Amino acid sequence: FFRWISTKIHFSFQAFEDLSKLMIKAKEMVELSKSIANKIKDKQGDITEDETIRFKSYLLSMGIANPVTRETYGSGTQYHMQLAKQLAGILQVPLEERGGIMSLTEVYCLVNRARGMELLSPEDLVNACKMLEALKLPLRLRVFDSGVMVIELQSHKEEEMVASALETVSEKGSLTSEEFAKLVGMSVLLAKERLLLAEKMGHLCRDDSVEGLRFYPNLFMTQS
Amino acid sequence: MAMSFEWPLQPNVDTRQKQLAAWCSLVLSFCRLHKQSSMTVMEAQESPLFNNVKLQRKLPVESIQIVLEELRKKGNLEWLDKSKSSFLIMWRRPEEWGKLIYQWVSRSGQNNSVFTLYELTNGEDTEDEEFHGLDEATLLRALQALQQEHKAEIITVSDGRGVKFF
Repeated sequence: FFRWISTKIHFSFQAFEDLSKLMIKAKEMVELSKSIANKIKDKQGDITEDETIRFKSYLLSMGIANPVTRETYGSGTQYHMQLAKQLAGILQVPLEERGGIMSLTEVYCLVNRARGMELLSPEDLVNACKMLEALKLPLRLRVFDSGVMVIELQSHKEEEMVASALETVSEKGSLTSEEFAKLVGMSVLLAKERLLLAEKMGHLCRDDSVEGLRFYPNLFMTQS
Repeated sequence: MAMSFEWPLQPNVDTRQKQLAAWCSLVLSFCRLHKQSSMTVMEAQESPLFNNVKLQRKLPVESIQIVLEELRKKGNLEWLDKSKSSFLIMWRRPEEWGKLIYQWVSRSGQNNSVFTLYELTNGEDTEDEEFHGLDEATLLRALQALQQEHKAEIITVSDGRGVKFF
């Protein structure tokens, strides 16, 4: 059985050599991966689970998605579960150093720089992160209203950071995201999300003009 | 959010309600202070109400429309023409004026009396009353409100209009 599969894979590597041929072969590749996956399913009794996992990981590392197990929020392949646990280990200290929160792009860069080889694809990273909470790991994935994705320590309470953000803005009268980011030592992206959250909670209001977006303490609510 | 950068309305709903209320209150205070009972939208745009020369900031006309619409919903504003270019602004709603006038009429035992509109707003007897000096347009609407409640009837007198109270 594996000999059959390895011959098929040998032909697929030939496809990789020539990108234009690969485009043509793309449809064949999808069909191939589907048939392999189905054969794995059929042969479930003949192959050990360990071999199956190894093989699925192999497919994944080639960039071929496994169509048999669909990733849904909270569930995923063994590969993503392992990856999630790895991430928790790698990210604990960097998160603590960065005030408990990092954007997913920062995480992507950090993790791939550490790996050096066998780089993670963005999809793999996101899928692994979606499992963090379900696996009861000490970090979680959070998506803000704007769509920005971050990784937070479970112990991090963004809503509480909003209170300190309000103090900072009040001290200065008003702040833009850039000014706030500089003052607090955060990335502008995360600074903006914190200010937007403060606005959503009613602590800040905005002044959106040609000169940019400024946030002020929300006197509409505090001084009636 | 599809909001142009000119749109100064607050995205947080609660804040926006307070913001609108603050603008409405400002408009009514301004008009009361300057004894302005009617305005055109163009006048409004250039007036200190919506044009802060010191800050070099102006409220864009779309936002002015929103504030005016809010005032209309609250009963403090009435459009004077179909094209919504000029409006009547009443810092007290007609019903509230009506109530004040009727209270004075009852207090002074003048039910079943007839007054000209002029007497009501400019007569000696009403000098101490809040509605003294009220503009005719607002006065008429106040009396119309009373008319609805069968507390008054607007009639024609020798040289204009008058009102009978019940």
